[in-house]
This record gives sequence, structure tokens and C-alpha cells, in this order.
Amino acid sequence: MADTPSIIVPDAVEDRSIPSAPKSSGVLITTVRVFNFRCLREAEFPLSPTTVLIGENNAGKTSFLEALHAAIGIGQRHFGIEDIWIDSTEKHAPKSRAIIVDVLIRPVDDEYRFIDTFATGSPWLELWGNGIQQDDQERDFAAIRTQFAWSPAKGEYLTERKFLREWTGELADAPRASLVERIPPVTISQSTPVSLYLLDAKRDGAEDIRSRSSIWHKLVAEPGLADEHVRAIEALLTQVNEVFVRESKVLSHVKGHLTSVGDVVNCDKDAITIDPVARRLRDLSKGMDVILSTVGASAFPLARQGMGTRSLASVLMFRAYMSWKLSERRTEAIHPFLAIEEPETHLHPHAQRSLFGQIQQIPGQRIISTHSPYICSHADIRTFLHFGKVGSGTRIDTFDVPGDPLTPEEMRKINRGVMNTRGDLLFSRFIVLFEGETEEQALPAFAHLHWGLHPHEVGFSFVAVQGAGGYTPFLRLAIRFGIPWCIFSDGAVHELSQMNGCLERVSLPDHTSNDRVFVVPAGADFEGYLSQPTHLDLIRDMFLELAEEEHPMNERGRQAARERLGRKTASEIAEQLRSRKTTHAARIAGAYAKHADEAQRIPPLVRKMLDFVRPPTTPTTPTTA
Amino acid sequence: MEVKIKLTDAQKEVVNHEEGALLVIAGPGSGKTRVLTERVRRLLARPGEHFRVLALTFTNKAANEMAERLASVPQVAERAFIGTMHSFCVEVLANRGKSVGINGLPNIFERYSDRKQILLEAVMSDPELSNALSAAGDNKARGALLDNWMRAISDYKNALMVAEMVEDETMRRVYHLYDAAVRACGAVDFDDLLLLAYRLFEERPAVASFYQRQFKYICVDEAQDLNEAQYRVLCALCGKDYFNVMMVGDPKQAIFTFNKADPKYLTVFAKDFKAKLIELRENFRSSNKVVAAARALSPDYVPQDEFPIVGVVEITECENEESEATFVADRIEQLVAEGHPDVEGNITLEKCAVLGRTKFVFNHLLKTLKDRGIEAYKKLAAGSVESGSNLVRQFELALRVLANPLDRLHIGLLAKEWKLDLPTEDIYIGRDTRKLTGMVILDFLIGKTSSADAAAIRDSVMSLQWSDTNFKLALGLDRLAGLAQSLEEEDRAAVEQDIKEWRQHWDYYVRNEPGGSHTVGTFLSQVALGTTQQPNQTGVALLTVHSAKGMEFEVVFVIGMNEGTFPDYRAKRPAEMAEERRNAFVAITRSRRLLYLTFPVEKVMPWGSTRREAPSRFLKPIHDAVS
Repeated sequence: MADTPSIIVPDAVEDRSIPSAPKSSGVLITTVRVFNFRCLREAEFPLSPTTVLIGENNAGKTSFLEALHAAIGIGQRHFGIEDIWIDSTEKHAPKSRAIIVDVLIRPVDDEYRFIDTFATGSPWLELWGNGIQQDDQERDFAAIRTQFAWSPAKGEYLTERKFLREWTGELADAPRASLVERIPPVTISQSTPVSLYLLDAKRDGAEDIRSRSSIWHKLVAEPGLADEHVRAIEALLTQVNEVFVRESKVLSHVKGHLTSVGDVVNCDKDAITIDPVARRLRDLSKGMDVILSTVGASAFPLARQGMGTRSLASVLMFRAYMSWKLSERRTEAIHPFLAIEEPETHLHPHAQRSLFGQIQQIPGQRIISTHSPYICSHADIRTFLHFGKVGSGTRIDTFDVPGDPLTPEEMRKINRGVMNTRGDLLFSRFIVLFEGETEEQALPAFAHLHWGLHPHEVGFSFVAVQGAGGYTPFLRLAIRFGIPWCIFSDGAVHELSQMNGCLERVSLPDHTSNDRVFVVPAGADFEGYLSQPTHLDLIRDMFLELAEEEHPMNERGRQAARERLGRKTASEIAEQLRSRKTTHAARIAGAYAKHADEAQRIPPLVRKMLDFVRPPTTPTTPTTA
Repeated sequence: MEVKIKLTDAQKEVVNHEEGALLVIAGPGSGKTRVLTERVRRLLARPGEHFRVLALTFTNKAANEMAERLASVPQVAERAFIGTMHSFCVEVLANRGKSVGINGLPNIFERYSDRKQILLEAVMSDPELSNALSAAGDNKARGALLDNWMRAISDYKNALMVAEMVEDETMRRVYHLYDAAVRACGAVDFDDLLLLAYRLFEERPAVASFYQRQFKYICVDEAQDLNEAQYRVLCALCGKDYFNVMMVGDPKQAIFTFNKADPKYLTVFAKDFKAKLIELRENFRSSNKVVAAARALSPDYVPQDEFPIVGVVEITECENEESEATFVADRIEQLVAEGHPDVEGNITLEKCAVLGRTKFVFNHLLKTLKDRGIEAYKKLAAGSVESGSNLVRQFELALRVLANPLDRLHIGLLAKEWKLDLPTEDIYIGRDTRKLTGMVILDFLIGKTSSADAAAIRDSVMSLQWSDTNFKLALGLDRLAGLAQSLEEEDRAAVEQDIKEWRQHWDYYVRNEPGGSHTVGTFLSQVALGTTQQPNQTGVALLTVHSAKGMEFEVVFVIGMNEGTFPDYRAKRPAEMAEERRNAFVAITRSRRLLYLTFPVEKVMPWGSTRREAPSRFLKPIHDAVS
């Protein structure tokens, strides 16, 4: 082609690296209270810079996010009459019942540590002015109430936003908290800077690119090109169109026919052009797309990528948007506030592991609702909100409760000892705790034998705490998050006293009066307990089988081995069990299963413990410790 | 129309002043309001900065004017608080007054008669004090004693003294009982607003700090009229380390010293805040003759540049008040018809004002203007609406009860209107005062009375569509007006007159109230604070000198320029006479172009006889200066 377009760039390309965003927005939303929204009749949610919501399905996580989003969110969600909580005996909500969502905001420093006051020159002070109040300790706060209530004067339900004059100590008193006098209701410009962006489970980066109301469009609508660049690119586009039409027989043909429009209506013949490509940069950006080529594959637009990629793209687009906005408007009041539902959706476990780090790089405050142990294992357990169902209501538990704070050592133990390795525990329906490897192998196998189902299938966790002194962090976790638990403990004096020490540390009675604790009788350990005279022959057979697998032997050798085993006393058998715990424990249940008497196939204490844990066929109801 | 002129160097210096305290001494017509607003405009326009500005004015009218001038500044409503010091104190107390006993918007007892009644009842409940009161003698003597006590309480409060600080035992008791009674009604008086705000800022520095952080700059207009309490509230607000205060004032225009204001606070401020001083000495308002007349009264008043327009100053001797009124009416008609070469454009009635030392000089003039069909309005003192008709007065009392169910005073007054003889406290027996609403009390009273008006009041109150967050006064007034149709003509006229006035207050309130949330309590407190006063009215303004403060007109008449009237006969001591002179100075400098000074030779006394009166001592020097 003679006139192949070439881009003429007037200036050298300047540095386009994104300036770093300020470390914090200067505020943190510390608490949200919700009244009469769906299943949330009265609930309080403490929030951190990153808050992780966990809990069963239908426990209220989505209700919380949607209540918050309808209250102070960006988007099209609004409260409706059907959102008002109703009692099981009610057909519809009485007019006097209002949905209330209160949001408590406090000033923080660059590291998101609380400070007492907004400093002179703070954009928040200017933005909210007298809406900001002081509490009894003279600390500044702003509390925004969104209320969806019946207005007798207007004859309809209305949503109103007002500043609260007080943040009540008791949750139950909150609906009667007094409002700030003599100032207008909270305006859009006052609430938008703390608006919640909700990336729900249905998010899709490809959809975002098509949707006019998405963050993508907010970003690309103003690509920030210099005027001369815009002119150069548009000139180029005109050229592209001319070549396109000239070289395309079809388009030239169509253009020729369209020119006769000029014969009918009064217009210039030259005024008819066909633009195969948008001529204005503004229009062009509407068709912008993201092309992705994975290693070793050809490039495809985002819409052709898998859902995992598209979902992730949506999250990353938000990150791009926020960091851009913050770098552009450094001194303005902007508190990026993001909620992501199940960010792990469609992602491979490895990708889930790295996802938390990606999310941590999104500036501002975040709420993550997740079912992913991989994500949980990276988060600080103090930032977890556990949602539990209680009847038709919801119970919110936090790990760190005021009045009973964890020592830094305990925190470290939980984060390192539990979360890094056993993030799945947060999602357990029951946790069985014990000391060591034999139990870890044998107990699930006995359970499988007893229930006919493996514990994994029903969401039960069997956890070795690595020594009798290691129960505490697991107990904390189970108790704080309302997960039912029990202990299967050795009966040896030393171990027993260590285990009781752990119970004491979480203010629970010792094994003598605690029906959650199952102790191997007669001062024995688990191996000793298993080496019952009634089962010794079966265990001997097991050892023999094992020996044969490892060293094939002839009949003589086998006979000698059998005799050798036959001479071993119960305590010697137990000792042998202890010698190669993992190998032996894996098979011990199999050995027991061979007992002729069906009632003897599971040791009585194990049976008692498994019956306490409850057969998994009955539906579980959360119990609290 | 304001002459668009460039800022002078001195004006620029004010507008461009950045940090630190600033005292601006600004003579009449020196562009004071302009530099104030321009400075606020410039501060708010600085990019990338986040703060608010507190602008305290002397009157609500001045606040409205400044807000109007700043209307074009983006987000000015959010970024600037413009209002009187009392309004500011109400805002502060309403939200942060808990530690000084104010929870929510304070109810204000603005009427002197109401407060005196409170004091009387409080005193009667105390054996010792009631003895002292009866010992004073007859009704008049007792009234005088109560007045003395009221004045003393006000003095203590203005000196920022709480009851415990009063040495005199009797007075401590009087003060204490009065305060307790006002608080029992869930109310405060005007003096309390300053005293409580002062205590709040002093006792909780964190609250003062909050306002310091929020308001990076504070401007105070008409600072020559600050009193002790106001100045010290300001100091308490600023604490030790806040200096961004600009005060604008003119000691020559200090005319409220009878109200404990004192221009000395300009000097005190300059010292306390180490303020930079800028003087604005030009007069861009008044014609040469008017300036000359002003100088005759205040020889050290020397405006820098001469104004190019000559103007008029005329002194006219009249037979009596009737002929004085005729002269004024004639001249107004003539000026409106013919215009004047020194006045740009037409002369409308709104460009003319008639000033008097007191409101009593307007009696004849009002009648004459009315007979001639010349529209005129009187500017009342800020504050209460005086309902002339019984029906509307009862309605107003009902509103107060609705707003504040603890308001024992007005419940008692309403009971009295309805001829109910019952101790107010009985109403509260067996009731949970936290849950008590005004409607319950009204229904209780209505259930007991046989007054024919009670049903009408209930009807009107019920039609207010009253709730905690909203009410519609207009609907109640409509209902009341409908019910008044059955009254005798004279009564009906009175009711309609009252309703008209209340409608104006409501109208102004609805248009200016932030966010459209209208409660009975906020409405009444805004009326009490005077913020619902009509800003612009039509016709000739009839103003007392004090209410003319800060205003300007093309044509000004000052009538009743007699000894005994202007200066006031009560001014005897030199300081008082000096204030009378400043009053005359203020009156004269309200004129931009034409000034007419008149005095009747003969006056009819209230008791009917006539008396010859001498011309005011201020006329001679003016005459000498302008002829």
C-alpha cells in the first residue's frame, strides 16, 4: 500500500509510571451495624483494613455485604420492602420497622493506626465538618446512618442518610442514637468518598469491558492523552478509513449507492463517508479490549478467556482504577472501600494462594468473603469475621475479643501453627484434636469404619496438635468461631497435665469434668490402648504382613517371624507400634476391622468419641462451647 | 448598584492577608463588606487545601448578605459558616453541649416577659426571696425589683459568671433559682448561649480544638460591637495557639455600648492576638456633603480620597411632627417622580430610608405615608414575633409545647389562656418525661378546659402533620385562618395580620433550612435567633439607628432631630453623650447621596399637651460644615 499509515508522535513519550498512592486515606471504617435487613435483625461487624468473612453458606455474609452496599455503595442496589427483616410469625413487616445501617468512621495515620483527631487541613474535616463528633474520650469520629423507613408524610418508604451524634456502647441502643442537629442530611458528595465497591461472585472482567457503568469505563473514558496526540491519532484513523473503503470493493460499492442520498435530501455529495473504524478517539475507546496470551498459547480477547481469568481481571481492574484515582487526586478525600465475594472463584489452588497478595495491593480498605483455605491461610486471624447460623438468625464471632485479648505469642502460634498449615479448619463442622501421628492416621480410619463415610466427606477435621501442650491455639480457634470440637487424649500423667493446662488457659474445666475430652484409660497412651489382648493377634498379623511387604520371605522365615511376634507381650507390641507410627497407624484400623466380633472392631473409647462427634447423617447444628 | 472599582492597596492587603491575626479598622463606606467577602472568596479558592471558614456577623441580615455575595464560590454552603455569634453558639451547643447540660437543640426563651415570669415563679417558691419581694412594696416596686434582678443575672452571665461565683448571697440565690427554672423547662436564654459556649470551650479544649481544626480562618464583622462575653467566647474558641482571626470594625460606629458592647475589644484583640493593623480610610459610599456632615460630628474622621459627587445635606425645621411627616412624604414623592442628578438612575422607594433615634418618632409619619399610599415597612428588632390576636397567641404557645414538652412556662401560660387553674407540675405526675410528647400535654389541657378556642387550636395543631422530623406550619395556619372566618371582623383582621407574619417567617425558614428537615423546635429557635427575618422588603424603610446598622441607602432622612430625642434624654454622662454622637454619625453615614435632617419645633406629648423642643445639638456643627 502506498500510504501505509504511520503514527506520528509529536513528543517523546513521557514517564508514564504510576506515582505511588498515599499510604492510607486517613480514615478507616471500623464498625458497621445492621438492623432489620433480611436475616440480620441486629448485628455488629467490626472491620479491619482487610476483613475476611468466613462461615457456612446462607449464614449472612452476602446479606451483610448487600446491606452495606445498599447503604453506602456505588452501583444500582437499593433497599426494598422485601429486604426488611420479618419474624417467622409475621406475614409482612410492620410499617414501624426500618432498615438501619450505621457506619462508624475514625481517623487513622499512614499505617492505618487509629489517631484521636482529624488534623487541620484534613480533607475529611472539610468534607464532613460538623458531621464529625467527639466521643467521651474526645476522639473524633464520623458515623453515617442510612435508614430505609416508612414516611407517613410521603406515603412511601424512603432512604435517608444522616450523621449520628453518638455511637452507643450497646448495640441494642443504637437505633435510638441521636442525630447531629442543624446540619443537612449526608449528601452524595459526603458519602461517595467512602463508598463501597462490591465485586460480587458474578463479576466478569469481560462483562466490565462491555458495560458502560463499569470501573473500566470510568478509567478509559479519559485516557489522558495530550491534545496533539489525540489529533495525530484521529488523523491516522481518517487515513485508515480511507484506505479501508478504497481497497474494499464491497464498501466502495455501498458508498457509491449511498451517495445518491444527496440527490434526495439536501446535502453535500462529499458528505457521505463510511467509517469502518471509529474516527473519534472517544468512540474508539468504547471498543477497547484486553488481549491476553498465556505462555505457549495464541492471544485471545478477555471474553474468550476462562472464567477464572475474567473474574480475576475484574479484581485487577478495580485495583488499577483505585491506584490511578488516588495518584491523580492525592489530597482529596477518597477512601477506597472494596468488598470481594469469593475471590477464589474458578481459580486453581496455586492461583488462590497468590491471590491474597494481589488483593493486599489494592489500596484502601477491603472486605473479602471466602471459602478458600488458601486465602485464609494468608490472612491475619484477628481480621476474620465468622458467620454462624443460629436458628433463623446470624451470629458473628471474631477471634480477638475485647477483654480477652491474645498474647502476641498466642497470635504467632495461631497464625504460624494453625493458619499456615490448616486454614481449612475455619470451615470445619467439627474438629477432633489429639496429640500425635498414630491418632492422625488411625482415628479417621476408625471413623470411616464406624460411619461408612470418610471425615473429609462431611467436613470434619481430625487434627494432630503435635504434643500435649499444643491444644491451646486450636481450642481458641474452635471456641471463638463456634466450631464444635473434642479432644482424644493420652492417659499418661505428664501428657494429661499438659492437656489440662491447655484447657485451663481457655477457661475450661479439666478432663475429669469435661465431656468433650476423651482420655485413654489406665494411664496408657494410644498405642498401649490399642494393644489389647483381644486384638494382639490381629496386630501381630498386621506386623507380619508389613514385614513381608518390605522383605519378601519364605515359609520358614515367615514361621520364625510369626513365632517371634507371638512371643511379644502387649507392651512390646505397643512399643513396636510406637516405633514407626505413620506406617503402623495407617493399618491399625484395618487390623481391627478383621476382628470376628463386629462389636470389637472399634476400640470402645474411640467408638464413644465418634458417637459424641455424631454420625454425620444427622444434620449439624452449630453449638457453642 | 455598586460601583465596580478596583481594590485600593489597603483593601488588597486585607484580601491577600494569609496567616495570623489581622485587625481592620474600616470607616463608613470603606468597602468593609467587600474586602471581607473577597478575602473569604480568595481563601476558599486556594487549590488543594481543605478547611472551612467561620464568618461571624453582627446581624442575620449581614450574614445573609455575605452568603449572597459568596454564592458563586463553589460549595460555599459547606465550606463556610456564616452567621451571628449566637447562631454559632446554638450550633455548637446543639451537638456538643452535653457536658454543659445541653442535649440537642436548645429551646430559647427569647421574650423578656417570659423570662421575668419564670423568675417571678421561681422567687415565689422560695420563702426568703418571696418575702424580700413582697417587702419591696406595691406591684410597681416589685416589678422594678424583678427588673433589677433580671438585669443583674444578665450582667453576671455577660461577665461569664455562673451562679456559684456570685458573692452576694441573695443574688446568688436569685440567679441560681432562675437558672434552675429555665433549665427545668428544657430551655436557655440568650445570655446562656454565650456563657455555655464559653464554658464548653474552656472545660473541653478538645471541642474548641475541633473547631480550630475545622475552621482554619475566622472573620468577625462589626467587631466594635463585641461585648465582654462575645470576645471571651472567641478567645476560648481560639485557645492559646490559634491566631487566624480577622476582626473588622470601626470604633466610630460603636453604638451598642448600652448593651455592654465596647470598642475597646478592638484594641484588646490587637494586643492579645498580636494582630497586624490595616486601616481602610476611603469612603466609597457617601457624597462629599454627607462626609462633611459626618466629619462635623467626628472631626478625626478623615477619609482619604474625596468622592467626586457633591450630594445634598439639608436641615429642615418643621412646625410640628405632622408637618415633619408631610415634608418627608412630599420630598419622597418628589424624588421618586423627578429623580436627582446626584443619584444614578431612578429613585425608588427602596432606595429611601427614614431613620429615627427610637421607634416612637415614626407615629405621625406612618399615618401620613399610609394616607398617601406610600409603601413603607418597619424593621423590628430581631427576635420574637408578637402575636396580637388571642387565637394566634394560643397557637404559638401550643407550638412551643409541641416542641418542648418540658416547657412548664408556656404550658402554664397556655393553661392561663384557657382559664385552667392547675399547677403545671401536676401534668408530669405519673408520666415518663422521656417519652412524653407535647401532644399528650396539649390533649390533657384541652380535655380539661371549656375554652372555645381550645378545639380550634387542637384542630390546627393536628393539621400540622407533625412528626419528629417534619411538620408543615403552613397547613396549620391555613386551618387557623379557616377557623377565624367565624370571628368578628376586628378580631379576624388581627388574626389574619398575625398569620401573615407567621407565614413570612415560615416561608423564609423553609427556604433556608438545611436539608429540608423541618422540626417545630428548629423553626422556633430560628425565629428566636432572628434568622427568619425578611431580608428585603418593599417600600420605604423606617429604621431605628440601631437597626440601620450596616445598611446603606441613596436617600436618608433622619427625623426627630431634637434635644431629648436625638440625643436621647437619658444620655447624661459624657460617655453616654459620646455614644449619642456616634449614633448620629452612624445615622448620617447610612446615606450614599442625599441626606435630610428634620426636627419639629413643637411636639405633642403622650399625655396630650404640646411642648416646644430645641433642635438637636448635632445640627449646628453639621449646618456649619455643609453651608
